[in-house]
Amino acid sequence: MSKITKGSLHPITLVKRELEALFLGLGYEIAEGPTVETEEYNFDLLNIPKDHPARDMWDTFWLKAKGSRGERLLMRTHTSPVQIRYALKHKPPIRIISPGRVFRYEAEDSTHASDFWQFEGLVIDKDISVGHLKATIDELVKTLFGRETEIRLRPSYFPFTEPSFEVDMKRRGGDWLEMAGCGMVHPRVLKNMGLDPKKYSGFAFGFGIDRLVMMKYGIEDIRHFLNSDLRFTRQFS
Amino acid sequence: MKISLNWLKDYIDLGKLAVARRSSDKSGQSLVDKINLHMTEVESVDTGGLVVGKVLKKEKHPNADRLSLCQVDVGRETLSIVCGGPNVAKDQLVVVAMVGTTLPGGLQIKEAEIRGEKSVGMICSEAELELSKESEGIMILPEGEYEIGQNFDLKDVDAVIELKVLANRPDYLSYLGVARDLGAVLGKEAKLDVDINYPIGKVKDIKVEIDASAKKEIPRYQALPIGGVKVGPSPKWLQSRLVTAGLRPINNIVDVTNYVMLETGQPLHAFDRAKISGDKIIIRKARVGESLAGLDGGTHKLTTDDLVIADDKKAMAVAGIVGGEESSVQEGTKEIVLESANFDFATVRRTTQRIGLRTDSSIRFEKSLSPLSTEMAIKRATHLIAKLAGGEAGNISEAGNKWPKPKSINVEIGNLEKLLGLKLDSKKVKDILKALDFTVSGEKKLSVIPPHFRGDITGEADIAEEVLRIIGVDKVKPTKLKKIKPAKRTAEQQHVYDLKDAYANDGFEEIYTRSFSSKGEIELANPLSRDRAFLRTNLKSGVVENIINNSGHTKPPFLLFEIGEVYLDKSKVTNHCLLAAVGFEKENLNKVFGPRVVELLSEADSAQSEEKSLRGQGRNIKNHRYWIVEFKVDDAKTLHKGEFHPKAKKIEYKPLPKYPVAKFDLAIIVDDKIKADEVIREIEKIEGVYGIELFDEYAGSSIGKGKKSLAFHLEYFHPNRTLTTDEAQEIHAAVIAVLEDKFSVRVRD
Repeated sequence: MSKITKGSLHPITLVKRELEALFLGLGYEIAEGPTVETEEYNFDLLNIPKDHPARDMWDTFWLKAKGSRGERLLMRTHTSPVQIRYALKHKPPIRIISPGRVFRYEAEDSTHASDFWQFEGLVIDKDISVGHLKATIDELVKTLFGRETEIRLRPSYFPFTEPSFEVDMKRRGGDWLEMAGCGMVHPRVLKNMGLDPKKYSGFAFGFGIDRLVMMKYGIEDIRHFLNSDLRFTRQFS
Repeated sequence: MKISLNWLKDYIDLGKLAVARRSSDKSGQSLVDKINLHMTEVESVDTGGLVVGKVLKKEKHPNADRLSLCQVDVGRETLSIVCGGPNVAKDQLVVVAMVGTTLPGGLQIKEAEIRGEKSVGMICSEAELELSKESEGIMILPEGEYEIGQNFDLKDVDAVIELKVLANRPDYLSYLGVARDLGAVLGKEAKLDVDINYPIGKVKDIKVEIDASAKKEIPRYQALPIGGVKVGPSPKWLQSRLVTAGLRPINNIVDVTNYVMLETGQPLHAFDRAKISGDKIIIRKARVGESLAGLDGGTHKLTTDDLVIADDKKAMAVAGIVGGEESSVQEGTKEIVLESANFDFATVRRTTQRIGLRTDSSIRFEKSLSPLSTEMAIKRATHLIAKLAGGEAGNISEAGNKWPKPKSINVEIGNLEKLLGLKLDSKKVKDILKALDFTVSGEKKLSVIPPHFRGDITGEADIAEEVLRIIGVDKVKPTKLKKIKPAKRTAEQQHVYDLKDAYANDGFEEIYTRSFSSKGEIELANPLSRDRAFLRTNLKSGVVENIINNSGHTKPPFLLFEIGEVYLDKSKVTNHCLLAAVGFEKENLNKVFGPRVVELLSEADSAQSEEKSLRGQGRNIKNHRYWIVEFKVDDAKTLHKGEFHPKAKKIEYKPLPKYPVAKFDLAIIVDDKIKADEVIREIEKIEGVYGIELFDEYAGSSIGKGKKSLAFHLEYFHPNRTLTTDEAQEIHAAVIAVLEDKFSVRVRD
């Protein structure tokens, strides 16, 4: 029998580390938070009130159990509640990234997962502008996909940012591929963080790590990540 | 929302703007680019099937003198097309009508066999495209202006683009809304004043009343009776416009209500007046046990939270969602009552969720419409009905009319500049806002009143977005954030990081498994399946599943580890770590994995651990043993430091086989100067080979002088199905043949 000499890290871990290294270097702390969340942190405080049609953007796994104050509990659909939790405890300037596992009530196929990883970033300070957001996203994409990679921002809508954008990345062959959402933190969200929107502004961005890894390596099926087939994971270490 | 360009052109002049261009084309922005970059995402483009192609090859048709057989590159593929044009030649750029296209003259393109040769599509002449009265041959496009595969934009072949619906922009669910925005983007005036005149006659008024139970949910209700209508099919132009939008034509009255909904964004409904009991329409909460047979074919059980439109006896519609079958307009209907109303978005949304029915009407109401939009829509529909179904209208009856006045927003140009990181010209800002129908006054400090249909605009940041998207996000220059000192991981984060490095360096392979399991303490209210209805309380069950799956194709021994959250109860989430060793007997653990691993696997004495056999866990799985230890990450001992370095070489990802692979072993005798790597590289090139593993390399007296033996595990596959035994044998034979040919190998028995 052959002797085993070297192990491997999962591609999600490897790409997450690559991203973390970039942002730690730029002074961003890594913020983490609970995966079982309340409706308030996952939605309400992020300017996604009950009965708002924007709630359709996040199909949600709800828990049978209620929280200690009788509040509805759910599996977080994004790591944005971490931003709220962090900002309520820390004064600006704030620079954080919040990588972590998120959940969507969604039938699984080769491009949709119900249990996956997200990576978000948040910066709040005086005089933060769309220009800062653009430079940050640009650096992120260039680090991961190569210095020559082009990006563009398109107008979009997210309840927690205003203005909001989608980020496209140019693929070889010239097609644009959507890779992230971002925008300037909505004044109501700043207020919910206990901050004065007249004094502070900020930007936030987020994307699925799985999707990004798929784009980076041309992976055909998102289910490979949680199936953790060794023929798959061994290709990356 | 699907937008037909021919229809859109009723409201805005698109000039010579191309519908879509290939992204490599730098010659200017297309309509699709404009919408993508200044409005919302274009999700799909259908240009009616005319594309630019290049003739790669032209041959004479073997069975017809006047026909040619052409190979035409249309970007995505190369098509074989039989062409009758005498002027067709190699390297020409031509217009190809793809299969499925209907040309302006009505000719439908189908896949055909012309004198024994297959023809997929048609190379068009100017006459066929109705660009000229007659033409002698095919149309040849000038070099340099077109690219292969780009859509050929022709006025009379309609193009349809689908826009992503944004939750805050119900106005994008209307042609007028899209045209208005596009006007601001293109710097053109949109023609939004559609004809709303209609003949008035002697028709008895209908009363409308909002019941006390529903006052809050009904900002406005308008109803208008139209008498003397003749119900029948709509004209073709109207039917085809509805079909483009994905709606089914019913009759001229219903079709007009749908048409006006698409045009203005305001949903409308028409009742047969003869089926209304009494002379009053009442909007109220549904009664206990009330239900309605809807036009969708379903019977909807309602609750006292749902709003209905009723007469003095019965419910006639679920407000804003679906009309009732009984009161619907049908052939023979003589007099109708048109409804144009504004319903509370939250109530409509809750009812759609409860009854499980979303309609073109409800998706508009739930995004919050303006009460001020109802009147123009009811007049527009009445105009069209009078035109298409005849009849005369009575008076508009109205109830509700309580809605807030749009508030003025204070906007400082300086604040916008600071938020956007962009220098702004005050006049330009005002022009943009005016083009979007905002009312603006002031210079550096503006007072801005948004138009009534833009309920999403409530503050300065919203104004900033409007200004920026029209100017273009590309105008903002990237600005680096101020440099600050690097941050560090917290002690806990660093601990997990170091653990992973240490395990990977010790030979463990990291896996992740699912957070949901068939058993646990916390249950999901809406699981996707019963076997994933709980949050996991350990990593073990997921990892065992993984070991079984992996053992089916990857030969043990292997070591696995996972670090992840487990959920013991809702307030107690713990990070666990699990180590697994698969495929060994306890006595030679040391030999297989090394002493370090033995130490790791045995150091967590207090942790749960188990040793089990894989026997009986599936086909192809041998009786391997596995050993698992699971413990809290916090309890993990401090490990020796040392970063794990993944291989530096460029990763070329190879997709996993979708179907089971066929496994073969092959032992060969080969000249000992030939490197095993060379042999592997040759095998890799053979079609159908998936995996190659060298498991033995041996040179000795039994093999012969100057020779060595190489033994491989080989895996064969087919990308789209499971290989048959014969096919697998064929691949195996091909491997042997190649090796015999290249390296003069001898196969060992």
